[in-house]
Amino acid sequence: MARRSAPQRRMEMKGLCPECEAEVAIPDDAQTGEIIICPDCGVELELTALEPVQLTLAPKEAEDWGE
Amino acid sequence: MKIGVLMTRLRIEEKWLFEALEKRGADYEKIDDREAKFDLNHPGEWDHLSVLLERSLSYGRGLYACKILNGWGIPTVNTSAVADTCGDKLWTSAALKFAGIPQPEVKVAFTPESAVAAIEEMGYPVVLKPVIGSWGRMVSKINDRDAAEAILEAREVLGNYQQNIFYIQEYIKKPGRDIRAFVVGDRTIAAIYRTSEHWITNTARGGQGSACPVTPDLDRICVAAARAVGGGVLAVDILEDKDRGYLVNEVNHTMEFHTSVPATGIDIPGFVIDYTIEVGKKKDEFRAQYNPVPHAAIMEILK
Repeated sequence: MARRSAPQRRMEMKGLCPECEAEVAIPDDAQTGEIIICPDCGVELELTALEPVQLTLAPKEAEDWGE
Repeated sequence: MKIGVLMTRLRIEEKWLFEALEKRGADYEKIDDREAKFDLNHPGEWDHLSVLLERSLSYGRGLYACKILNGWGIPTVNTSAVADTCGDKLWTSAALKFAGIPQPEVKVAFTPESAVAAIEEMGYPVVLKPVIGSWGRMVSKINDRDAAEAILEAREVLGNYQQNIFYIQEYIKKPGRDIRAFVVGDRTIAAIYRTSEHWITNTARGGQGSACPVTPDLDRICVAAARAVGGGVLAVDILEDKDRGYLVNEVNHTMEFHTSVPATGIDIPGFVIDYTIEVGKKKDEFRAQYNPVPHAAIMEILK
C-alpha cells in the first residue's frame, strides 16, 4: 500500500507591500483573494496571485458592503 | 450539478464554505464579482450552474446578480426577492409586520421636520437607521432634540436619496446583549449572544459572541421571521425586551459566521452547503415556477 506522503510545505512565501515596501509573510495555507494586513503600515492587501506572490491594495470598503 | 459561489473577498467564511464543498465532493466554481458580467439575452456562461451561492460583500452586486440569474431560471441562495427584502430595513420591517412577527416600534418619515415630529411622538431615546447599510454603520441612538436635528440635517445633506428615508426605531433597553440566530431552511441551527458594553452589539463593531441555547421559543420566532422574508439561509437578530419577550430587530441574507462557529461548535458552513445543494437539485422546479411577471399575459399583448 502506498504511503501517503506528507503534504509538501511550500517555500516560505513573502510579498512586498505596495504601499510601504515592507516584506509581508504569506501564510502557508493562503489562497488568492485573501486579505492580508501589512505588519508595518497596517494597510489591507489582497493576495491576487500565489506563484509568484502578488499583493495589491485591497479595494476600499464601499457603502453597500456588509452582511 | 455545478455550484457557483459569487464572492468579493475570500473571508474565513468563504474558506470554510469551500472546505465544506470539498468535503462533499461537490463540483463548484468561485466567481469574483469584480470580474462577473452578464448578457441579459444570453445566459450562456451562467446557464450551466445548478445554483449560485451569493457571498458578495456588496449588497448591490449580490442583489443584481441574483435578480438576473433568477430571471434566467437559475436558483440562488438566497433568492433575489429575499435579498431585496433583507437588504432594506424598511422592507424587512414591513414583511415582519405583514406576518405578525413581534418587532420594535418603527416610524418612517421623509423630511427632517416630519422625522423630528415622529421621533417626539415615539419619545427619546430612539434609534435612527439608514434603510440600507450593514455592520452597524450610520446607526445612531438619539437621546434628545439637539441630537435629532443635528443628525437629520447631516443625513439630508449627504445626498443619497436613501439617507432621506428616515427609519426610526424604538430603542429597546436590551440586557447588554442581543441574539444572532442562524436559520437554514426550516430550522434554527445555532445562535449566539452578542455582548457589548456599547449599545451597538455587532461583532463587526467589537461585540463578543458566546453560545446561546436554541430554545423552542427562540426557534419558533426565528423560523417565522426567516419565512416572513422569503426563507433560505438567514441570520435573525433578536432583541430581548423584558415585557414583550423576543423582538426581531433585523434579518440578514448574506451572514458572516466567523464568531459563531467557534462559539457554538456548530458546522454552519456545512449546513449552508447542504441547503445549497438541495436548492441546486431543484433547478428545474425553480425554473418552472419562477414567474416575476405575468409572462403569458404579456405575450398575449405583444402578439
